Amino acid sequence: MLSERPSMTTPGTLSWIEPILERFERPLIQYATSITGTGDHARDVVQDTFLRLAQNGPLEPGRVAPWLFTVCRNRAIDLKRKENRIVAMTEDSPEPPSAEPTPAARLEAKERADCLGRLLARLPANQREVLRLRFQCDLSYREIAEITRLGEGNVGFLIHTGLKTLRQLWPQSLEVQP
Amino acid sequence: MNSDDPKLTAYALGELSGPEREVMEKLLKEDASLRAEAEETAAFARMLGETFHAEPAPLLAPGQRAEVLEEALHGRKTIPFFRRPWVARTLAAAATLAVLAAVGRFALPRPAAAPLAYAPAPAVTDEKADQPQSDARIAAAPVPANKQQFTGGAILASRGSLKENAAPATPNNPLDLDKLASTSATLDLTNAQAPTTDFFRNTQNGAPPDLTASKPSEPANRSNFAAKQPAAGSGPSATARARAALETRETAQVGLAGQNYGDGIAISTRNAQALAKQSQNEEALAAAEAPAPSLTAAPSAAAAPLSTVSTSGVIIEASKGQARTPADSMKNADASALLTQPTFTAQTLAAAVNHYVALGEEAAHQELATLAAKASNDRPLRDRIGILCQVLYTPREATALRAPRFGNTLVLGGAYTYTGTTSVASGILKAGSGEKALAAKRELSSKAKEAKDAKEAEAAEESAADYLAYCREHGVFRTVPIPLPKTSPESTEK
Repeated sequence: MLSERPSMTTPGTLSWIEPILERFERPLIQYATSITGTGDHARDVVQDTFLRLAQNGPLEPGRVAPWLFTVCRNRAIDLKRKENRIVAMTEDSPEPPSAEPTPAARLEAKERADCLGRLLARLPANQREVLRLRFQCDLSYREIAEITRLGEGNVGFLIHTGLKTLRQLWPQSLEVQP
Repeated sequence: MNSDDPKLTAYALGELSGPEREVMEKLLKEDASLRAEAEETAAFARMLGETFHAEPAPLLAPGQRAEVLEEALHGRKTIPFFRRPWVARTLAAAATLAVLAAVGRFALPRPAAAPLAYAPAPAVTDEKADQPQSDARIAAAPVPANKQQFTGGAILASRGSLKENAAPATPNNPLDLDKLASTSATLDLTNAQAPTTDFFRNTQNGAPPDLTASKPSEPANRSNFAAKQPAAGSGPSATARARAALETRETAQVGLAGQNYGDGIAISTRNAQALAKQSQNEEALAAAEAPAPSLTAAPSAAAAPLSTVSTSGVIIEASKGQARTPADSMKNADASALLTQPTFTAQTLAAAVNHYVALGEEAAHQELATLAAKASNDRPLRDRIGILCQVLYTPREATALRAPRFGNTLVLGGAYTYTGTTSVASGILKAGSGEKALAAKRELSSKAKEAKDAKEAEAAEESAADYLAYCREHGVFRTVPIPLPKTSPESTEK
């Protein structure tokens, strides 16, 4: 699960929030993008989330990830609801260059990503969300339950069901050997 | 247990602990098929995690990140919506009015019904039409005559309890522009006939600014934005008012009640106040509410430049000479982001400007000169030094500083827009009528001749060091830092 080393530091210095930014910036933006649908909106949501954290101050150990993802989720859903009233400023920033080492690996990763995107679209929204929180954001069942306000057992069932469906639909050509 | 048990998945994902884990491990030892299932699930989960992690995701922009760090460092608190003073006052006033209305409804006899008599809708009005160099006073929404006699705002204003809802708009009411500025509207001045100059055109054609400019708000039109139209019945649209003002060749600076505007908007000091009020940015409000020099009294462009850099409708500079800049502006003063990052924002530009303001003219010049020497083979660095110089130096005289002759155009598109200190103010001051306008025309002719004489010299590219030297010779170094802008719309409390 996510490590939360910065929470014991004190406000008034940047040391307490910089590691949190480093650790959670990307997964939060990925998660927010899955809700808002655009990277720009996701960045605004995540910036707002971090601003709220900065205003709130350091959190207790173990509270950072659930707090951040809960705030981010609420803000993203709120934004999504208001989407019709928001004027899109279509200036997407360039995507960061891929860190894949070789073209072959990059191609394979792209195929997997495309496949995952297609298969995820066939899952119910609640299964998609818990799968993302578990495998993209590395959150525990307990943290996911707290963020989504579902029971921990329900989260386990949704992840189990979603994972099983993905395994059944996953093409053998992209299969990974244990 | 069978292979379709969520607990098996939980075990494979490392979610079980304590006795549950021990029980599961015992089961797996006894059942090879369960063990294989668990291993396959774990392998698939690893692959799934890697695939999820590989999804591209943009990171926060440097400005967004800087804002978060500043918030954490300085502990700037955002006042929750319902705790903001004006909200509290408004709610209290509304409650009082509601009580008064309820009491009046039941306690007072009802007057006989009378037909509503509306005052004629005022056209665009310039209260100082015969005075040169007056800024545009644009009549705001027509107000029903019967409502002018009895408005909650007027009552509360007389009690001093609700300044924001003060008197209804009239042609002589100085709040008109505030009202105008707070009107969300789609601004479209692209077809207006008035001559135009702004930073972009200056930089694109490399020519001195057109001193007859009267459309400083044109940069707004370069923004790809739209906003909700004013509510029906709220009077002529901001666009119509601005058009009418342009026809009189007055300054038509229409502040846009800002949110979701990615680009900068040129605004007047009054608009700055209105926007600051709307944004509830107390620092910006403090800066905007400082006594502003009157445009009409300004003897020169340098005395009262109106240039404003704004993102998302939040003011970062109201007006030189009147802005009480918040100390926070200097806390993040740092030029490194502007000079080293591949992209930059209004925040990084402002931070860099403030860095050099903090250094003072001599030290800043030395540092910039050192950078300029390195910029001979670094075009982005050269361009940014050029941009910095145009913000750091304001013209000594009414004539604007020319744009750098770098052999290209400084396109400041993307996440921000900059309206320079050079052309706008001088354009405003020269775009009046009568003798002033004639004087401006004569000056233009003279300048045109000078420009022609210097044409050959201008054809050659100059270095960043040359342009720095030019700015230092013809400009005054900025002493007022720029309040750091915000990039995201005001967050609302849930």
